[in-house]
Amino acid sequence: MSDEIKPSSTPPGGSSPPEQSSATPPAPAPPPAAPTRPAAPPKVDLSAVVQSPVLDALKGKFSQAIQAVSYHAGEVTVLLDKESLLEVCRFLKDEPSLRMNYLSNLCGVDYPDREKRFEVVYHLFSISHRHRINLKIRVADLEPAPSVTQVWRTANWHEREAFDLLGIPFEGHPDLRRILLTDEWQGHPLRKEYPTKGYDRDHLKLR
Amino acid sequence: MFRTEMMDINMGPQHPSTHGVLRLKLVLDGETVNDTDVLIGYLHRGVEKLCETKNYHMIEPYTDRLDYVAAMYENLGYVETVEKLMGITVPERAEYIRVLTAELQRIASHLVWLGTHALDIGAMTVFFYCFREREIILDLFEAFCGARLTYNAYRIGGLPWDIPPGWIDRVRHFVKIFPGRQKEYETLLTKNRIWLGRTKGVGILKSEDAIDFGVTGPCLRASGVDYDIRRAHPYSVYDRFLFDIPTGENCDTYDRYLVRMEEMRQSLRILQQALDHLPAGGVMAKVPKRIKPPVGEVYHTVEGPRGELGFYIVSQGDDKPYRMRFRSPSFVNLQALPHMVKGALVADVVAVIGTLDIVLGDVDR
Repeated sequence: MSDEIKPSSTPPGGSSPPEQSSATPPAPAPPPAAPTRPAAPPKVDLSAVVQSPVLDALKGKFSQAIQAVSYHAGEVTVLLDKESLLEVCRFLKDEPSLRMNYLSNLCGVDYPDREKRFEVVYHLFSISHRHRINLKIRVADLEPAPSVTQVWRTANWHEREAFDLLGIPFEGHPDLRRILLTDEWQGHPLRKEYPTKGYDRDHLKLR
Repeated sequence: MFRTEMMDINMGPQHPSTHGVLRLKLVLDGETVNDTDVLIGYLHRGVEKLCETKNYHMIEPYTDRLDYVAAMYENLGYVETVEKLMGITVPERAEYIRVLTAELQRIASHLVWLGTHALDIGAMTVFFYCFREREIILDLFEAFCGARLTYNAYRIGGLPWDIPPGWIDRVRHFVKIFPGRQKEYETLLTKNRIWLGRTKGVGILKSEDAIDFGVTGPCLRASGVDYDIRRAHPYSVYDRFLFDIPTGENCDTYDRYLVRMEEMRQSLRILQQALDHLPAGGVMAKVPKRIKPPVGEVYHTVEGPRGELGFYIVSQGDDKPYRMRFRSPSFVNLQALPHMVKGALVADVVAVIGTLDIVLGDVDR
């Protein structure tokens, strides 16, 4: 991730690109590229702890609500108590130094082996400060998750989709009904026990 | 003895201006839209469920079929997410070629938008001009990867092949001729009285509403918010290019038109720089044949022609994703439609659907 645009091999490369695939005479070009490539992959520490001003602010104000913090590829994910989710979301949105005003994505994940089988994941960004953070809560089957539509209106359709495909009810949602599937559809396809080809399709030879 | 009452009208799912199978339930007071219910799902194929049964290589062709007007971006977002999940560094030459093809795709996608949007509003000529230039781009893609619509052009870790001989010169030629062609469209539209009448002040979306609805892409920038993921959270090699982010002031359909026109010019600037600095070298990093990312989850976004394309992958260390989620810009942007057309005339609904630039394959997944 160097800031320089021009690698050392640009002058010879610049003249030859049209034919470079068949004729590869610029012998000096591969050597500079070769040492950097194999060296890079093993050094990446995917679970490295990264600094996040949003997490610091959350730790300061809601330390008892945070159940766990995980890091992957530079992203910070905070597992929260279900009860404090709305309060945390309002704080993140309204706090002037954070202004997490943009809910990019909201979705559910199904872990049928767990006691609380669903995770609801919120991917938050701040348009003005460029911060980002991921929040998570866990709910059991049929246990309602708090709706964040009052905080971000964009959550409306995302929550309807999570309700439709996973069957997570959202408490306080203004218009909770199926969105992608028909109203009379049985079951929730993204649940792990739902067969990919659907029910009553055993006569079809699908993989 | 006279009385008025609200009338429910179904628009779609076979209405030509809904760009696919979108169904709107309009509650009309005369010709004024009082309320709108957006009914989607006619194209739902359960791609997210399907992805849980496929390995990581097999998913890429599925991403092509989400937003089939800008399939390069779906490919790009997907492979970058997997690369981020695994910590793969892609060779520089591959990154530059990805930027080249992606920016060409942005222009091609905006051309489809411009042609169909103008056609919806009644300006038929622009459509033919737009598709003339789009054809050049599709020819370039065909020479690069063999496909014209669903490309499957990238691989996790780089590219399956280098660009063919002479391809760079053809792109240079396109970059040279396109500004003149774009002037032709603008001659037809920018100061056209009918165009102004149909787009100015129509479908107003204020900046705070746009952010609240999660609207992204040109629609957000036309509302005056300077937010572009290429600048805010740079991915690939976008931090090396100079380009401007056009924003609008009036938050209406006309500003969204101007913003997209300017975006095409900025894409040309990026293309020019990428062509000038295209490095030599290989196009594929060393990646295992079986992609098995470590346990973890990432959410990665790229700036597609329609807005923020998000990919959320949960990996359990298996060769298939445990959960795959596509955050499609069309789906989220469409949510703002009832707000934008409230109090407008029925004819304006057509203009607003056009300006949101939705692709139903992307909405319904």
